[in-house]
Amino acid sequence: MGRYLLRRLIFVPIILFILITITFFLVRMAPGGPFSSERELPPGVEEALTKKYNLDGSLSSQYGRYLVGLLQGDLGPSLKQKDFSVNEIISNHLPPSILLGITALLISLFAGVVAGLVSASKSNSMLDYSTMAFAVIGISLPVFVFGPLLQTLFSRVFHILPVSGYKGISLHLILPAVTLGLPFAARFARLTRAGMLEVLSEDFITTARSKGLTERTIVLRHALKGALLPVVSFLGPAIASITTGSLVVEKIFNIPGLGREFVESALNRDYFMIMGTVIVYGTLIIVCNLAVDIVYGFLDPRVGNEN
Amino acid sequence: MNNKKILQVKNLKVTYKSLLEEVEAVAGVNIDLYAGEALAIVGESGSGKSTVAYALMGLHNRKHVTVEGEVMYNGRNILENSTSQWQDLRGKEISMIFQNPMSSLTPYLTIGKQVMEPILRHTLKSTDEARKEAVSLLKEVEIGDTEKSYHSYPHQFSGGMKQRVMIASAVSAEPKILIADEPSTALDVIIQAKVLKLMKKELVKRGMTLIFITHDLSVVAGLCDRVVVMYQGKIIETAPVKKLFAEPEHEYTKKLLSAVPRVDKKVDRLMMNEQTRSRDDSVESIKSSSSNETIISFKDLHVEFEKRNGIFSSHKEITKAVNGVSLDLYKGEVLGLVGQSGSGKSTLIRSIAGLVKSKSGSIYYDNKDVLPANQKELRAIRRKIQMIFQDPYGSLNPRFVAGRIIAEPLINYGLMSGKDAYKKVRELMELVQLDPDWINRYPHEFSGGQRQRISIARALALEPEILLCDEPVSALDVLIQTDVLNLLKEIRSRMNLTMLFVSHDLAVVRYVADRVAVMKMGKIVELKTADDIYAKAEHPYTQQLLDAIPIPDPSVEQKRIRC
Repeated sequence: MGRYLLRRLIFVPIILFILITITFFLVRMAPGGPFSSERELPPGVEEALTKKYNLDGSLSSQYGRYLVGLLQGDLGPSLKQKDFSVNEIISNHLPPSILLGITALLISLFAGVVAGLVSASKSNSMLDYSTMAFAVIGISLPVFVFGPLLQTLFSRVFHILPVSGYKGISLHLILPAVTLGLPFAARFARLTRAGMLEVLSEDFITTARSKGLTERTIVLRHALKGALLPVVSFLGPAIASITTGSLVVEKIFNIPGLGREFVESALNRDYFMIMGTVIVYGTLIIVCNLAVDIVYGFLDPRVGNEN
Repeated sequence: MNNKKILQVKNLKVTYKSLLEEVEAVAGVNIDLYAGEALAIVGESGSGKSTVAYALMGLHNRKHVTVEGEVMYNGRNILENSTSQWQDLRGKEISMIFQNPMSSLTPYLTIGKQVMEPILRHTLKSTDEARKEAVSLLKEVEIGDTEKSYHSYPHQFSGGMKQRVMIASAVSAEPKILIADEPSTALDVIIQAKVLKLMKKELVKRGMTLIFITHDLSVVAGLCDRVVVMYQGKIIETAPVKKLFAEPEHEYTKKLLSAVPRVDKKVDRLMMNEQTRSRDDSVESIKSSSSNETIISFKDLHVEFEKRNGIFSSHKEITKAVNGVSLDLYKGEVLGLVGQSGSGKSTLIRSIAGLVKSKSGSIYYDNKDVLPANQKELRAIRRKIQMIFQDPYGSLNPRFVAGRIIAEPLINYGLMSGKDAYKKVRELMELVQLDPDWINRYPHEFSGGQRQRISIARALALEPEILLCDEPVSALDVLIQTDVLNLLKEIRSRMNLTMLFVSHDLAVVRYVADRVAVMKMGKIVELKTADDIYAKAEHPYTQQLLDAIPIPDPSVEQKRIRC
């Protein structure tokens, strides 16, 4: 396991490097630039700006300079939010996104897995059908419908929860976390149900029954690990996307997260900001997938130590 | 065996319900099981024998299956059991071993935990005591290094070891009755013999009663006291084992018995069904025409498989699958190649067709070394050498109809197309005794035996000189096995084919082969004519293989029981 992990870790910087390179040149290929706007800038001003922001010289020399900066932990300046560096923006906006994301993930994981297990153990009953119908709604209902719905219900009608805003770990987190988590919960539920039903039809479950074990023991000891494998696989990309924020949820609940920066940096051709968000997202994806593989090894003894 | 009835099955009916239809799998079955006896339930697949076993354990899904009738055990009808009553009974009163050891152990739990589960469930023993007992059970079923095995996972064990673990787990809570559902069918002969011997030992030691379910009558001969023969959900004959083998009453039983190939006797022709009987005279008149002309010759062939542990690792594991084989195949003969799984016999025949790469040595075909052959030459060779594979389920493309599967080689080699190919395919289907009107059916619409006929028809389409058969009948029931073997024999004499026939079953090989080569760990340890290898086996490994094969005759088999 240790050697396997080491081998996987070696790949992390290589994948990141490839990701950075591709993004860098792709972004530059897009038409327009950070300073193009309807009002034409005087040539002198534009030249001064490009020089100030390190955008002069050939593309390859810019790429070289960017990599050198990156190695020193400098993600460069933001070209639109002119008083901030990309480092500052990310360190300001990432924590709320991560806090919200983890809360949403925990809620959705718990709700989804429990719903999936109940559904599978009572498969083809009314309870199963209604849970799965709810899951389909959860996947297809847009957050901009579900969010305001929750706000109206819980703040305007019942006055239980605050309508919006961000105050760290507080009641303010609940509504946005539920909104953000709903589609994930629905997917977890469907994956758990499908996984459970598949495992329950395996030969070794019949063996377990023939030993006289109770259904509870069979589900928890013999089936659960196998049933959760697809959930765990989905968890990697799910964590990465849920913790990097969502523009819509942040807008609805007025949360200063990273989601907005993703979208706006791309619209504004904010070259270094785009690079910064891509690096954050990419690193998260890689690390989460690695974590998933490790968890996989613990769940299924056949993985990872075949030699 | 005494006269106390431990279990009585009265008018048992099991019906599978689906949206479209109801299928009565068991149609009114009566069985008396006497304490201490070993009862066999014999029948072909689909006869309902496993369905009976599942009913005795309450393992049918009540939503989709109706079970009617009575099963009396300890003075009450256990079919009326509640879920928790069933759970108390399973493992403690009646226990079961299943057919496929590969998939019947939970991959996520250690061996030890799985063995001790019934002890913890059904006795008042503490975890510590249960653990100790599990370890001693593992020792009892001859699993080496029990402490280490206790903490191993199933995937680290071979099929035979897994089946022994299954036995340990099934007997761990001291059940009165053990049901074994084809426990040795998925294992090769030597492992099968070991597992059966172990089962017998456990039965005697614990005074258990056995219900043994199988399609293989030869296994029954040495193990069981009485036999129940099932056919299409009904019992057609019940008899003590010796009587059944000596004077079978029912036609079907006679057919079953005559279908079993025997290793201890030379048989010219096994059971014939109505179809083959009519053609038989013409077949018998054609004598096998093996000559001394060499058609294929292996010279010191080596095939190795490498397994690298990942792309940064320099460590390689090398398996010598074929380790220096020299062998001549004469024109017109059938050469049987036998050995246990992993002995390299499949690799050897695959190397002829160029399906695996050889490391060194040479293979001469028509006095020409084929190993340096390029793609084009290989294509020409493959036209003359065709293969039939073991698994009639996996080796046919499920999205092609039978006609297209059979025609594919013809079209591929550009020999025929359109009407000619259609005509040829119909001829081929007739040759392998398939209804030519089924030309547009998909593989899943055929039975296992019929699928193997499709494979044979496809292999014959190019009119090859050599037919390589890789365990062509080991996945089939005994009756179907005999049909396919008879077909192969017939075709061989008609088309003057040379055949290399791979099998782990010496009885099957004896039936078809002129000469037999025994392979062990990549080497040929003995090569003799078919009659000699059975009469005068010299190598201890050949002897071991021969001894492992059960003989379908209780008077012989019970004397040689290897206990």
